[in-house]
Amino acid sequence: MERLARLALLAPAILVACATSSTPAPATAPAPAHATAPVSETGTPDAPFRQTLPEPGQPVTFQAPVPAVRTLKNGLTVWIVEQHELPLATVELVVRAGEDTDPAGKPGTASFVADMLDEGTSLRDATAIAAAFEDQAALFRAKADKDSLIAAVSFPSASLAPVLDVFSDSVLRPAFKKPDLERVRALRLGDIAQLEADPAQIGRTVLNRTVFGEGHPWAFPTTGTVASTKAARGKQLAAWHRSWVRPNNAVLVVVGDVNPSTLLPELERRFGGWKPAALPKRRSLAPVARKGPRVVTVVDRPGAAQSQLWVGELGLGAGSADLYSAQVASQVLGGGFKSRLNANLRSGKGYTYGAFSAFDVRREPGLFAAIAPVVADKTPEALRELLGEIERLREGGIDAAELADAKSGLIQSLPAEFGSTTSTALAFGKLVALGRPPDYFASYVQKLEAVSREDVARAARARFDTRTLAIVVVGPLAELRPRLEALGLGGIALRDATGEAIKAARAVKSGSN
Amino acid sequence: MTALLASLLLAAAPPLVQLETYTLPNGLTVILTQDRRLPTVGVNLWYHVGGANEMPGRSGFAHLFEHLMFQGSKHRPGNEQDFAGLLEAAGSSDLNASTWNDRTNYFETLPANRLELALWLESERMAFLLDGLDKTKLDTQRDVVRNERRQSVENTPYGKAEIRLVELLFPKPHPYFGAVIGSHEDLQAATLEDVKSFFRTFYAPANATLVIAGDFDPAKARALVEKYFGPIPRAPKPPAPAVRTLPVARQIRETLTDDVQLSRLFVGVIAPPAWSDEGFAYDVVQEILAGGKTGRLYRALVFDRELAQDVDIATDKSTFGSASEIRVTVKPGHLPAEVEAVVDAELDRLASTPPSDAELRRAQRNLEARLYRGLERLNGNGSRADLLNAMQMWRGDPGFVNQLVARYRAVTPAQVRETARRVLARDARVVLIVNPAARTASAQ
Repeated sequence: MERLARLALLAPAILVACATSSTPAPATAPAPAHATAPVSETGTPDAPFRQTLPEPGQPVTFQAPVPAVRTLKNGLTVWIVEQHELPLATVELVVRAGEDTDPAGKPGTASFVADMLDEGTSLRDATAIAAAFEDQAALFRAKADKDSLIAAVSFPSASLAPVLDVFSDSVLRPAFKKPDLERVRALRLGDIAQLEADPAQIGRTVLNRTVFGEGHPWAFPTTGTVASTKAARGKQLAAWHRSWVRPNNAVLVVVGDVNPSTLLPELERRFGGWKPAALPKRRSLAPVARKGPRVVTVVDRPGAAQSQLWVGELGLGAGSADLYSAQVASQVLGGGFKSRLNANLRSGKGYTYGAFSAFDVRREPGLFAAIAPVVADKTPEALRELLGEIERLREGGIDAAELADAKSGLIQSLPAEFGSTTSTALAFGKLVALGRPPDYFASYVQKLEAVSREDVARAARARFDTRTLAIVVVGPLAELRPRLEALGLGGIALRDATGEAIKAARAVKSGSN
Repeated sequence: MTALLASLLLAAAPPLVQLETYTLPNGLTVILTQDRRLPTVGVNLWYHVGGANEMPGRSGFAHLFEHLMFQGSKHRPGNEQDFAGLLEAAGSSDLNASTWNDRTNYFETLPANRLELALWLESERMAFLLDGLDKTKLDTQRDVVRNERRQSVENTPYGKAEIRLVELLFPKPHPYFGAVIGSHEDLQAATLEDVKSFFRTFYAPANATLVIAGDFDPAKARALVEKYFGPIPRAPKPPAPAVRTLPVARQIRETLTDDVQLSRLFVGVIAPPAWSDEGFAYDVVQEILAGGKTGRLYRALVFDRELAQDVDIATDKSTFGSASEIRVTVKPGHLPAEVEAVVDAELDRLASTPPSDAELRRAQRNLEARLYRGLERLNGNGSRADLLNAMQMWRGDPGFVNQLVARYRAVTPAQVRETARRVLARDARVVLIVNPAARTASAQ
């Protein structure tokens, strides 16, 4: 467990793939006076081969793995990807229900269920589950997401049978017993308290609430609120589990050193008795319309050294017509290290350690966000630059080199998705969550290849309107207020760390100190 | 099965990473390891320089310098967008660099047909960096790094405590004092002359080791290494810093307040040097105390007594002693003192009674599995390529990677107890408590 060392390049967790493009290489930097010297400062002789970039070797062909698809007797679909180089395997149960199915007024239900999966079943208590996994060196994790719940275990492949015993028991038969529930509830309340102190998390929470609107399932943090966590009941969690964790609403992804002919009977034995059931009606995920003129939403962090800028809008669903062209647009805007946002706000102006943008693609349209943590006293300038880059993309589209770089970066870096059993399981689990077919990656490459500059320009015009984009600033209000107002983007609306509006009287007081 | 043969739990034969190592006349050590699972190739270059090599008044400089290594060179004088853009357009993954106490690493993974691009770039910055550098580039990266500090220290809960703990463990003039990220004052003071002199002293081929991992032809890779790195002249290997690590002789205690929601207890000790013989038993100690939910501290603090929100141990494996810290977040309604009493009791218990064979075996299996999960990843921090460089640096032999499983398996219950007794002794601890500002404790 080494601590992470300092990194030169920052990649945000919300980015799925890393690739490139942007403004042409800054050829404007004047060459230093000794650039033509035949010998370098280190005494290395210059040579013609150093002056031009090496050409690629023989083209590399890469075919993403395509899982073998099997079906258990109860209808549960199983995707199997064999990788035998290492004696490791990952089993991942992907349930197509997450925050989107939290009952109205009960945010955090799916996430609470995920936390309870390894906290006790009718057969095993929480300690026995932990011991059963860790005796086999198995790593278990379970997490609810916007529209899925994923429970995964990675383990030495020789331990398949004992790991499947405890994994299937955990995910299929959680008991939600009172003492375990209370213990986990207290931990979740502590987690929420910590999230509410983390400026990046505050930015994410408040932007989601602004974009999706009050009461929308995605307007809350995944963990829910203090109130909903305090109010959660075992019956409520059990009902959610009973309703949504069904073989007809899930796929089991198995990756690694496994043999399908021996694996399937093992799965049949443990998952075969799991009964399908009709699923409840799903809630609408259409955003709640925003009313009134656009405002700049501020969460005050007095004295903060940095401001978090979170700017966003409703984004892409898996079925959006402009899915690929809009993603290429965002890739050029803020997708890689070399992107317009990062080139401007980091490499050019030095306002930030990293500026990014991304679409969080879901079955139904999720969030588009452009993000930059910036030095507090440059907050207004940075916000202006960030919006300016979005506007420039909307107005001018992208050039041919940017398109080529973005596409080649996204396509050529695809193999890295399959570099370990866990990352491979993650990649296919994402397909399941989005309702995509097992051979999706082949068509992904073709669809990306087909994107043209005109497609990108059209998507940028349709998607990025700087007059209506939601703007959230988490930073020191007293220092920033007049300068933010001077940008003319709208009035300042104050919210707290959870996104709750702060009454005008307090806002005035806070603004005057 | 290609480069890696392994069998985890009941292995008769130890796992084996196949590799070849050689040294160029200029002193650059080269390590080749093939892995044809994917059509990709990783380049991972370690320079044996880090925070420990900084001059007084220049904390954070090694890391600031790392940023400058992305700022172009003689033949590509553009800024970091240019270098990173070249690699990203070629399809890079794992593209990054990092700086720690004793080493700085640079890595990128590319499609198998772009190995030459990675070697061109790494040789370009090893040989021609200064020919492309100017003050504007320094100034911009200085701002970027200061933003990185704001983000990871000032604006991150408990960020300041992490730095303070290291200061208390390694008081001045120890070179680990403070943080690799450095202070704003020192970062502001860095000059272009500092950059040049640092580069000339520490970025010599003889002070670097290059790992190429993945899908490549060894003969062609050797030829490319010769083409790009061979002409770089030999320069003296910098002397190792003269460091005397003094043990913490008497328990040091401090309390801070910070903009956090919950109190946190930090218990820091100086653990054995990176990958030293005595370090294996300490890794087992760490696993027994805080490995997963069966770890003794998690079990006692989170599960049985319900005093804590979370528990972990993090150890920075380093040449002159490894800062190791137990971190426990105190649950609302409880006090750090309650948590500390349980930590004390658990550490005492491990220091007085050896673990059972079953508990030891569990810890060993999990360490072994963790090793495999690292080896499974081709490149990046903690990956196979990175681990080979670590073995070269701290064991003088990348092939030592193949002895790690045996080392873990050889640890005995008595060694675990003895290591816990010695390393985690009450007198040898730094105890740091962080309380929320404007509150007296986590109690609300």
